Amino acid sequence: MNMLDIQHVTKRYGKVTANRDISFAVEPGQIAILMGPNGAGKSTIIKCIAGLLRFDGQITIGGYPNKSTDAKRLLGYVPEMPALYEALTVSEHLEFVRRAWGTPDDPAYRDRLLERFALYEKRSALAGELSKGMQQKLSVVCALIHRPKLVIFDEPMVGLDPYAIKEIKLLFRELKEEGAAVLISTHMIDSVEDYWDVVHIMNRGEFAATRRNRPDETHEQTLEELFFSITGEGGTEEGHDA
Amino acid sequence: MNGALTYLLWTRLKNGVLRFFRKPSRLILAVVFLALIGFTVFAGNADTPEFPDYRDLRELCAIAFVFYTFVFLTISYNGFSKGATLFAMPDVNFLFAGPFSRQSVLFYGLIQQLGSSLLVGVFLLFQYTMLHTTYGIGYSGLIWLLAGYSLSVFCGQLTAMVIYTKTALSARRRRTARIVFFAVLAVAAAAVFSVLAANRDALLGTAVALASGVLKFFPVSGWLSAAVGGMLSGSAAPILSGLAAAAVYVALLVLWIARSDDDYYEDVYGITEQNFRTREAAKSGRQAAPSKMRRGSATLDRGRGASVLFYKHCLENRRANPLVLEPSSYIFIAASVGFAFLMRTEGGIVAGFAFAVYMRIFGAMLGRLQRELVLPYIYLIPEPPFRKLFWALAEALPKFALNAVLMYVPVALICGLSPAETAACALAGFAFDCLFLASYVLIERLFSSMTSKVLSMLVFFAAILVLGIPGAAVAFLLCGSGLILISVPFTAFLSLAAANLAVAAVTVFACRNMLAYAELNLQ
Repeated sequence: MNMLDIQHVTKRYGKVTANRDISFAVEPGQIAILMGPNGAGKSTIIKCIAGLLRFDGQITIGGYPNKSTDAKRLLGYVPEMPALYEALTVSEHLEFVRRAWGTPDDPAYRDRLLERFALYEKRSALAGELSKGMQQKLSVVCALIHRPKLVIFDEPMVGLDPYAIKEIKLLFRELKEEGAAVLISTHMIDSVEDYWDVVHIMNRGEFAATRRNRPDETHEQTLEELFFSITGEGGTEEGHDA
Repeated sequence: MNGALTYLLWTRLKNGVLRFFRKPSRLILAVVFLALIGFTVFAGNADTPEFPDYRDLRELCAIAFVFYTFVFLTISYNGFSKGATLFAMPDVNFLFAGPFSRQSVLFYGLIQQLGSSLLVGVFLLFQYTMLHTTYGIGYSGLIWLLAGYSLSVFCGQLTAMVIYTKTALSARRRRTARIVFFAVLAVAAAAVFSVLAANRDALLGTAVALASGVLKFFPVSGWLSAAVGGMLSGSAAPILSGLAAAAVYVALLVLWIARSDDDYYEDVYGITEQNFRTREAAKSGRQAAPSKMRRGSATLDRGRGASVLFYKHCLENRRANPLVLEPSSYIFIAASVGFAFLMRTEGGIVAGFAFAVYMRIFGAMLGRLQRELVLPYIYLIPEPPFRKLFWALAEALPKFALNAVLMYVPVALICGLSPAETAACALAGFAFDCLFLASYVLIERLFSSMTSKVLSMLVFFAAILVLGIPGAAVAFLLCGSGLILISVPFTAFLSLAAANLAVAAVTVFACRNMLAYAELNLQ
């Protein structure tokens, strides 16, 4: 069964169509990338999945409708803007998430995550006292502390230092090995390297191309060439792999 | 409520208190704040005469009604445009995307908003001296006035959220809701004007008629001002009926949101994100760009050297706000004219002018210079700093002139001043705006790294008091020594204007080097 299943999702803001008839799925143990230029509609579909926006169509997480609490229990969400509770410490953020998601206390796992993102020494600091990069890291840790089955990252590399970027890329692979479904939205082609299983290139609210990363498949164009052939000047050219 | 949400509320509250002890500057600020409130209370009590002659409490109830109504309606009206929110951005990321029912999240938002509404009314505590000496109000009366204000803010937020949630997806519904909103407003306005017409010459008569008439039935602000009036006069019936009506109103709105199938998350998401961006921009010393900008046909085709800043600011202002003055300025103009009309026989031009000047304290701000200071361009323009500072501030002068015509001329005419005195009054108002602007420049020059907005405002008020002394002294000495030109009001206004303009010019000149070193202002 797909962990994330999106069927014919269309999202309109008045007369503007931000997403048009989007359908795709992410299986357990799969890393899917949403790639596209600014304004392509990546964040909108991510927010629809996270249950923040209304839409036409159907989204299920682990078989549950995405707005149900059962679905949200399976979800970890790293937003584009790390907005944290300024009056809560790093530890208290994690304690709040643990209580909210009803997961058992696992200090070893918590401390390991904090150490990984260089937050262990800062665990008693208020979120309002952290730098932007630190806040982004805490946002990632909060999304992972309840061991979600589906993790969605909206532009996760923005604002991170090289060490944290390296860690987060390693983390993507680990989540995949543990059987979690991972969906990453990004406009930075370099950042996805080769750890992805499927890339959906979005342009003007639609899927313009989908490419799978299989050893037996060869492609005429690199991912970068494909991206620019779709989103280059005018952005109307269709991708070859769609 | 969900255990995790209770944990969240309690921990935030606890840490909010503990934060004052983590940073000495915050603790000092809290102590200064409490000391100021203590001083206000002490000074108010010290002024109590042996045989006090207090004004009628119904007058205060009428003022409270007008104030609560203004707050409630302006906040509620947001429901027709950008909406309103009970939530902050972390709530969106953690609660909306978390495993909580929409009802639990709504309940959490209501409690959070109630707390915020109480905090925004704290400035009322500084009115203790005036309220105590004029109306004989004690501590408990002041707390009730504050509670009425806070509840008006809270109900306004909730109403705006309901209006937006229920009408955002349907133009027809929005039109109907707008008609209902303005119909209620028209009925209230008609009632107020009928009272004003029947009590043309008496402020007290107007106030009594307002406080005891049909307006106590006006939604929210009428109920709350009636309840506060009951508290102040020791009458139980209006307290019970007013509070009960407000409680039923809140309960109905909450039930309407909670029981309906509408998903309110998207409706509050937009405004929550906008508030977050505005706050983040303010933290870094920037102004958030207005959500709507009209490009129009005008372009930047005038100015050379430093003067290009003036034309650039005029173009930006024109695109951001076609009304020339800020919307709040028109409200302050209307309030000042209304106050002058009511006080024309009791306080005359002194009360009318003082009230108008008080209204302008928050109107004469730095404008676009604030934004220029955190961008590199103004420092790089190869011109002398004073010239750049002058032209960067010059955008305010036409606005000040327009405001002086719209605000001070009607105030002076209502109070019966001659044409020459009216012109002098408008010039004095213009000069006060310049003085306030110079005070902002002074604060920016001396304390640009100060992050506490409350402390900045306190220092700003101190600066106004100091810079205003020469003007007041000159006017007092000239009028007191008998050196009168045309009339006493004319002499007073003209001397105030001349002195304040001179002080403002000297202050800005003294601060010219703020544009010499970027690190003074970049945060």
